[in-house]
Amino acid sequence: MRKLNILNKIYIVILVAIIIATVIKTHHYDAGDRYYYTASFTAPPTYRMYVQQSQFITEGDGQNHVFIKSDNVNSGSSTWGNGDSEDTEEQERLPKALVLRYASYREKAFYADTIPLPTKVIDEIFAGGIEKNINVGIYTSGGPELSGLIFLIGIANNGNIVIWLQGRKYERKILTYHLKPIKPTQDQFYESQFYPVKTYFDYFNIDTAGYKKMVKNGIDAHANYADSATHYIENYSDPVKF
Amino acid sequence: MEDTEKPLEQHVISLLLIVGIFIVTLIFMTCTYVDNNHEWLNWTLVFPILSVLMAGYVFTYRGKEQLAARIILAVIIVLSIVGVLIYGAIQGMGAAFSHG
Repeated sequence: MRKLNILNKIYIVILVAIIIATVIKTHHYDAGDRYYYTASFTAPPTYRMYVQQSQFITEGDGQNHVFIKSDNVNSGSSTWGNGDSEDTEEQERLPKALVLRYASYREKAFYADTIPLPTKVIDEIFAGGIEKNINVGIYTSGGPELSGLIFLIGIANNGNIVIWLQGRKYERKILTYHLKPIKPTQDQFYESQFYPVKTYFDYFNIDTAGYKKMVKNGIDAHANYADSATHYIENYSDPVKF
Repeated sequence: MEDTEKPLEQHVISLLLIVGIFIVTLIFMTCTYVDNNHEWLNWTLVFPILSVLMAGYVFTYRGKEQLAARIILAVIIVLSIVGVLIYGAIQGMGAAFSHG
């Protein structure tokens, strides 16, 4: 073996170090696939909901969470079947459960549970997303548009939860779930404060008279929103490219 | 076996190692999933890495035959600076357009 000079020895050390680093990096990388996705809520306007806590628990060993915004439902501007457009910048592992805690104004009830999601179905849909051309562009702040899918979480009346996966001219109902109301003893969160359970619903930012009238008139009293479709595909149109 | 071959010059070995390190670095950067932002960062880092490696080469072999290496080094350094500036501009624009 010929003698190497110092520079070449340094180069060899660098080379070996990078090779080892590459091996470690591939070995340690969370083996699961990552995707771009967003999630938002929808609720019927005749059943005002307030989401107190909402997050996905993602796959993998770590307790990783993806928080889900619920501004549209909480402000009462949501209509059934229409989510809010959210943005994301990071690829995430797919969700395996939904942590959800909310209050229903019309039913004067609280619901809270951790809902297991059909991970196999979700995996398959995401894995075939590009191939089947169902991915949609997801808005990012200040970056290029990303390709992914959208979770729409419907909070229907009577504690029914419906979750759809939506894409380009694509929609699939992946879960319907029934929650039983809970009887909380601790103060409950609304907007920016905690309120006692007894008077909680008095603090709702809502047109009380109008809402009472609507309830009195029996509007949607027998509705079961969990069975109601979203009309997402019919209304879908590809975004205009500039 | 080595007697029949013409022994490699040290600086040739260095060049081969530079190429090797460069290729392995690219593999390191792309072996796991890279999102868009990091893809930009990777391409920005390519020239600075090359210039550091080339600088070692140029300062070690100060012979007259190494003029080409010096010119290449100069070009790569300029490209590094330009790359970093462009990257900074893109990131800056991203920050400016983001709606917090």
